[in-house]
Amino acid sequence: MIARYFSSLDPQLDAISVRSNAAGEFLPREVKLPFRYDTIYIGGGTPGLVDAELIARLLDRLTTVFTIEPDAEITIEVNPCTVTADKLRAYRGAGVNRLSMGVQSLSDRLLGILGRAHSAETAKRAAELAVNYFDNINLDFIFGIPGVRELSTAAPQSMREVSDCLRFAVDNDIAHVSFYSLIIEPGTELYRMRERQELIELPDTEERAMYNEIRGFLSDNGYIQYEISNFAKPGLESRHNLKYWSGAPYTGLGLGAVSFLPVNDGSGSFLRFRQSDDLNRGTDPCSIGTGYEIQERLDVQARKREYMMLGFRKLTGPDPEGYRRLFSGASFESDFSTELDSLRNQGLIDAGNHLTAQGLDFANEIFMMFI
Amino acid sequence: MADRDKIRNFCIIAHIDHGKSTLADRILEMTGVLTAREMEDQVLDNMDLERERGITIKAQAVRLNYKASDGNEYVYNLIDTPGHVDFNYEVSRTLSACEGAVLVVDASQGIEAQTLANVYLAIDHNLEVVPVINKIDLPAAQPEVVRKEIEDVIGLPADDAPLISAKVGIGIEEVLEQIAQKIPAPQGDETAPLKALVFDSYYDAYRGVIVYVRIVDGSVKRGDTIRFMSTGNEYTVTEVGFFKPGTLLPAAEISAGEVGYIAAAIKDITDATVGDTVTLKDRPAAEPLPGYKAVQPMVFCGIYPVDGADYDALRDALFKLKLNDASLTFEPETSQALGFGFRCGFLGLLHLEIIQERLSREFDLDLLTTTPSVIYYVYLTSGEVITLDNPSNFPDVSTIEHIEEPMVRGTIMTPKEYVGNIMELCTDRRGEFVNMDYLEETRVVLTFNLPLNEVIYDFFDALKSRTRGYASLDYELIGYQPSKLVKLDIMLNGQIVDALSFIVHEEKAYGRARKIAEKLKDVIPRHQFEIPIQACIGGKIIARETVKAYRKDVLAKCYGGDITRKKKLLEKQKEGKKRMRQFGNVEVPQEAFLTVLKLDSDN
Repeated sequence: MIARYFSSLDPQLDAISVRSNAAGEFLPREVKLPFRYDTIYIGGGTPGLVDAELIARLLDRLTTVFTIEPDAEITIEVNPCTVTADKLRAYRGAGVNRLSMGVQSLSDRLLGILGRAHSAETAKRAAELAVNYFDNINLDFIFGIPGVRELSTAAPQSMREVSDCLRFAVDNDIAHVSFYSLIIEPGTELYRMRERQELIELPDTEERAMYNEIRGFLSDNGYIQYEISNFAKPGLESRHNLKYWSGAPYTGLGLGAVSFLPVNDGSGSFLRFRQSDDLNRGTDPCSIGTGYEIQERLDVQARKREYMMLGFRKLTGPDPEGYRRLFSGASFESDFSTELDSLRNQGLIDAGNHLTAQGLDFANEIFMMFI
Repeated sequence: MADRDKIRNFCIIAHIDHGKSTLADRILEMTGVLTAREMEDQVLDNMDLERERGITIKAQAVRLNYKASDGNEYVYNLIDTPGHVDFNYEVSRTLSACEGAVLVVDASQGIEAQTLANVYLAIDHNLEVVPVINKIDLPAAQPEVVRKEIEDVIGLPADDAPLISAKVGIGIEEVLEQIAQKIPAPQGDETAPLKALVFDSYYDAYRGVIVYVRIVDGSVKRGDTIRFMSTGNEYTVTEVGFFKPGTLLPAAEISAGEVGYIAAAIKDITDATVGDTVTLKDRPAAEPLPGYKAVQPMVFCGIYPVDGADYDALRDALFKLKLNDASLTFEPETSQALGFGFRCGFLGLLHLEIIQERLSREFDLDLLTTTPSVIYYVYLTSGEVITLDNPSNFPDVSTIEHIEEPMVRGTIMTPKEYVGNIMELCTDRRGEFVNMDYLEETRVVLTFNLPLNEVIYDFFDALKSRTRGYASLDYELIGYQPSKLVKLDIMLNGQIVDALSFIVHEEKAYGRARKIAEKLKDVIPRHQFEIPIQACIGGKIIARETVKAYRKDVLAKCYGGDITRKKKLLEKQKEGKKRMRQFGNVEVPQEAFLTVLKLDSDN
């Protein structure tokens, strides 16, 4: 389950408890809402902003309405600026057992380029504090950050600046780290800056060298890379994220949250739908959703393709056993023999369907095979 | 049957956009053939493409009745002519079917090269030219200046030229009056053996080919056996008649002086070619009308479906277009790079573009077109002469004695401030200056002899960009001349891409090779490996560029399970790849093929 942007509880939660499909405003009538959850992710960037008390009440409500497994992974996503000892203690007391923090970089100049509000010092202090309350912490980092031509230090991110982040994570015995290769997407300030040729970008070759250094360093320090950008101490992989990559259903509550749920007609189809986040259209920012948009209807064939596509985000590739379970005994080796052969010939995956080093660099090529 | 004295056969000639079709519309409206509400604008240009581009591709004809101020009822046969140099021959045949021409000149633009070319063509055919000054409602209109220009430049009296606005309907009556007064009635002997000039034709699914004719002598009716004098083919007439806007009006007979149609269950449009003479089997004319020539395509290119599975659809589409276009030729061709397609022949570049656009628009085909080529004569050391229209068939250099290429006489009309730019362009395109005439103080006519292969190579675009759109061009084939030509090949990752090869003058090969290599470097996306782009002549590399390898292709972080959004991005990326052509392991976007077509030296 994903919960985003909650700042107060909503009567709709009570409606769900009465009858699953009564809450038609946020849930298409044709889908089945699961009542048992073993991961909760309180995300969307800003839950750290609100009073910790509200997070506690939210989890309390969710526990009343749904069955939350006793060993459920319950993550909260926080911003370094909002972290205080009191809040951390309150999260802990409310049942949160995993903390994810967007650090991005430990260099002030790079944080500035990325447009982040926090300083390197703030991020360090927040993480060091968090370690006292949580064993299971994730720190998000970005690499491949460009330089800005007009700044006094115009160079793109250096390997040394990446090492600072790696070192910090290892020294603090952080359970889980993610290193995302910066992709400058349309609509962002960096994109506009690039259009205006204000950026000095890292050449591809250096960016890849950086990636390989990250992988090597983390591996040497006891982390297992289980996904293109994700690294964890053994047994501490994010169970929540693994669900996305293994075709499992999930429920998204709150503004802009996405759900992926089975259709209640025995066809094996799933719907992916997204709660409205258009405040101009009267969406209540505190609601679990006052209108949704169906993004995609996936029949069994489409789900199979998606299973493969997402499965290849994991270094071990899609799981044959999981595929068999989801698709009544089918084998992806036979369902997708052409695609898999082609990927093997291109050197993107190996005989055991694991991503190769080449596959890590050209993951889109693999994904596109299943689009 | 109309009294021959009261028949007026005429066409309208004008530069593109000077308002020919709008005037035709107004004439139709005024003569009551159509009410304003009934008619779609520009009835005569009835292909979408014609309407969009404001040009006429196929001739159209329509018969109208007009009651003139002298109290007489006249029959007007208005024949709309194609207005572009590519269709010069068709224009000349249409003119032969008329006694007069209404010359439309834009009151703000004045006379253009094409206007002049068509007027001279009309005068050559002894047509009475009735000048009309259009668009007088425009703020920039200078009717008196244009009137003087008509007199000075063309030498036509224009003191009583009607000042009109076809768009708002001013002065149309005056045009209709002058047609009756000035254009002579047709001559001809109704009792002589049949001589009918074919000036157009189209294929009708029910009646077979509808042959547009001007009856010069004699008459023809249903049941007659007609003979096409160029081929000797004979057919039994199933129907004759006249043209109504958008339809045909069967008649008992059509005779000398009339413009009409003949249907005779003719299956193939090439059996009723423009310029041919139709006569009767039982009482044939002694000799055909003068001026017939078989239409020869001048420009060739390969047309390939982007998706190989569309090959059959492309073939069917070409057959369908061919039904109505005798000048289009095609035959199957195979390219290593592009797979199966067709080598097509066209009258000129515009004709090529029109066919290409119709194929994609009317038949919804996604196509790739190779560099256009002209016909070269290759003299071999063995004494043999081969005609070459496809760079792929370029013979081994050691066997070539010499090569000749087609030359055209190009007439360029321009405001005088652009003369320098045009001189430079034409010289750059291996043009040989022939002459320069001042039309008036500010405008000149430049004449150049130019190789056709330079003209078909984005010459129009280059001319327009160097003259801010003011210059106009007309050209005619004047023969062949020896030339040092070589075949330029492009290699991607060490492999020749046959579809990018073309024939070029030796002296221009280096410059062009460099430019193409540079452009290709920009349009070929980076791959997982480095791609050398090489341009070479007979194995010798004369230009080289490299597309650097890219090292990553990964998605940004996926937030909160919004996988659909990621998939959409991937779909877009994949869609882009699908539109590319695979050469060995290099993917080449379609743009790359356009690169070699459009390579104006300024860009």
